[in-house]
Amino acid sequence: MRYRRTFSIIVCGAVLCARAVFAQDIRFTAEVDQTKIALGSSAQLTLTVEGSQDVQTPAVSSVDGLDIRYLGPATRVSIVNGQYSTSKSFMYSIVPLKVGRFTIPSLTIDIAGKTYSSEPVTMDVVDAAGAVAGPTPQGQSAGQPEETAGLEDRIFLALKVPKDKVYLNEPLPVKILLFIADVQVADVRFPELSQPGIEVAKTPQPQQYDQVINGVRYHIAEFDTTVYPTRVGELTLGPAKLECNLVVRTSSAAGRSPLGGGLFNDDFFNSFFDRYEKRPLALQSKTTALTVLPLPEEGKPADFTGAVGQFHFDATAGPAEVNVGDPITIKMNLSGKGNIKAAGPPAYTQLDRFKVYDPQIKEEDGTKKLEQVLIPESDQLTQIPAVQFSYFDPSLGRYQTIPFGPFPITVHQPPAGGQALKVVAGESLPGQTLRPEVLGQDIVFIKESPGEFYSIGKRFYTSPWFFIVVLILFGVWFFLFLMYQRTHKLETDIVYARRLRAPREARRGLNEARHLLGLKNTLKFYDIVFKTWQAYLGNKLHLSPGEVTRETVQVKLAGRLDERRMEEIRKVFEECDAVRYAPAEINVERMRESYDQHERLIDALERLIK
Amino acid sequence: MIGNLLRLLCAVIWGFIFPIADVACAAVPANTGPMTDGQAIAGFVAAGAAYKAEDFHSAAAQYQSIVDAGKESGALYYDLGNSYFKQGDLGRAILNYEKARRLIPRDSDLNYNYRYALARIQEPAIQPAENWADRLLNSFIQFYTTGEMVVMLFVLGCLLGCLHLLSLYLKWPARIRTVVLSVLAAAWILLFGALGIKWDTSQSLAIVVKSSEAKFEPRADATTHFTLSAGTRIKLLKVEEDWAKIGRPDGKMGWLPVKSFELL
Repeated sequence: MRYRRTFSIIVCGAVLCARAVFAQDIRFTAEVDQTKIALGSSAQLTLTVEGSQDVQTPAVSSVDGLDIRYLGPATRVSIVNGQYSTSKSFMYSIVPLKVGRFTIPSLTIDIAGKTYSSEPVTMDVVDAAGAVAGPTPQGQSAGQPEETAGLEDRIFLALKVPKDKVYLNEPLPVKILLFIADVQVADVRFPELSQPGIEVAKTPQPQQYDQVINGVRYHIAEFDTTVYPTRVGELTLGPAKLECNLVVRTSSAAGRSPLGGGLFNDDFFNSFFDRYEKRPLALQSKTTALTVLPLPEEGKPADFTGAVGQFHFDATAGPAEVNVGDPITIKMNLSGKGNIKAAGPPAYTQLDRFKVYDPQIKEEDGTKKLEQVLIPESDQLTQIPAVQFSYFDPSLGRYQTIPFGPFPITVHQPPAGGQALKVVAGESLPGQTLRPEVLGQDIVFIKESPGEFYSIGKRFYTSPWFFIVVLILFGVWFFLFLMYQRTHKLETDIVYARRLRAPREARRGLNEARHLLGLKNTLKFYDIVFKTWQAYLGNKLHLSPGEVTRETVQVKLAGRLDERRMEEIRKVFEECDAVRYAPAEINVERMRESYDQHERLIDALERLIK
Repeated sequence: MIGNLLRLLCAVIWGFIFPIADVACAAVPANTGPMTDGQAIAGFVAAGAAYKAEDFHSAAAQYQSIVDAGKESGALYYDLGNSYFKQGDLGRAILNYEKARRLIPRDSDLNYNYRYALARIQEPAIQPAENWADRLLNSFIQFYTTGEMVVMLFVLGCLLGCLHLLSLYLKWPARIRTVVLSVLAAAWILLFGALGIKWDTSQSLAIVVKSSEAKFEPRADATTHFTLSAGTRIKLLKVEEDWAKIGRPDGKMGWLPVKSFELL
């Protein structure tokens, strides 16, 4: 056992010594797994520190045209033929944003106060069509692009607005176009176009199609929406923002075989081992200036309520022949292109000799439908007045009015004895009605009696008296609860009850003893004094009468009283014995002294023993 | 001893709590203000006569003068609401119906007129969807006045305290005591919560008295956020000089001139 421990210490020491020796040989290198990659693929940059693992993650400066992200570290320890070596690698993913030759500059790292530098790394990014999986032949100026093309040319967002001057609340159709060429994207979200002063309608599902622009085939996703400017003046529309994931190809370890070229470095085989990763991409379109004009005051109709656009409006009334008190339903439909949510069909508010009911308006498939009930109150009526809807047409630059009516009607007196049934809404009568009830509505008449008057802001529950009463009642409850708690404890806790009873009974015994002292009844006096003393100590220390002896009491009180008090207690017990065995030596003076001593001692014990 | 305590408890309950509850239900009589009850009744009758003569403007002014003198009653607010309604002032009509509902919430005439006036709001704000718990709470809160809820809370509290003491002194079985006291305590807590919500609502509830535009900022030339028809219930959130930040029932918030609404 002892030898094994010694051996372990020696081995560990040897390893540490070896580490110390090799710690001096530190190297810092930078390498990429591919020196030539295609746009839309990714490469891996590995920074390796050999000879030490106690290093911080090196900072890689940004390179224009490359998106470099840290992936994580990897450590390696090996002992080969007794040679101990250690290294720590830091991996980074590189996604090129445009074609061209890029150089990752020399990187530095501080280890134990010394600075180490790596060599610069150069890599070529070529168009996807021109990418070659194999290494670039020596001496060839590979990677020199004929023209500079970037990721922003392969995927971008555009905002198309048909015009730059609009009227307030005018519907403005807007297209948000996502162009994609030679890259793969996934998880495309709906574009966002929100800003103050412009209300944006809900964006429907996009249309998708292909289009060749300048010889490049783009796949286009077109999001059509409508915006409504709600503020007059110069506004800026955009930028539209869209988030998606860019799918980039990362070559697998098999693709970077140490065997170099040959059969396994062929594109055909690489495609089996490649994997893909998603990188979040936030796209942003350019902005567009928008001039919002106020609606002209000239020619504004009195009934104009803010509708802007092109609308269709129609209205019908029926039935055309009714009795007095029978309902006529007006139906209006409003549809078209414009701020239809804010616009509403014109309802009747008041008509002479008609009872006008509140309209019911609902919106279905971009059409607002209004239904309103009118009840003729006279058989002299021949028509329902015309109704008209006014709106501002931005394409014409002027207000338009669409009139409908008047609607001719014939109103008869109801047949004799057949007065129109009028029922106040909300009242239900027993039995069944044979015909639909006509609902007449108005407010209920005023009250004749004022009821009880109160002073404003003064209520019983804001009065201080109310709070005083509540507090008193709470106090009563609390007092009674405490009383119960005490009674309950006296009934269930005998130790507590005896301790509580001890001074009261002692006081009663001492009073009796004082009375006997006055009568000079020696025997009876000492009998009472000793019983009182015995009962007091029994109650106080929860002892049975037989247990109250000098030894027991001294043990119970040890550490709770000082020496002087303990001596007094001992003397009291001795006096008890003395009186019991030599009563002839007792006189009044001694009796008084005994009484005082007992009284003093009980008072002291009450104070000192809780 | 227990017999004495029970007698004391009975004396407390019968001699103290119930007389107070009776007084509380009757509320504090208002005879100390500048206007006596007799004067208020005379003004009420005169205003009623003006209403019957279809002089709604004069009727409203006379009803309002009683309120301005520091007197209020459910019927007074109800009649004042009717007077404004007949003048076409829907906002003030609903405002006074709301005030009346605080005092006579179960009056059927009042509730009918109130609902009818609400139905005539031009563009009512979208009400958020309520679940059954919200509906139950709202109907409970609106069914009772604040005073009635305080009395209920008081009586329930006294009952809880008395039963607690009785259960202790009469040594009820622990299970029965736990069930009875838990039920009563839960009811008391729920009632207290409902009263708190009612109190909080009444402190911040306001009615739009004339149709207005709520702005994004407290400036007259700020962009309009939404419009509020007269009679719409709003919640007052904050006041800054002549502007108030308000919340609409559907949760939208905006700035409104303080003159365009009145607090309950």
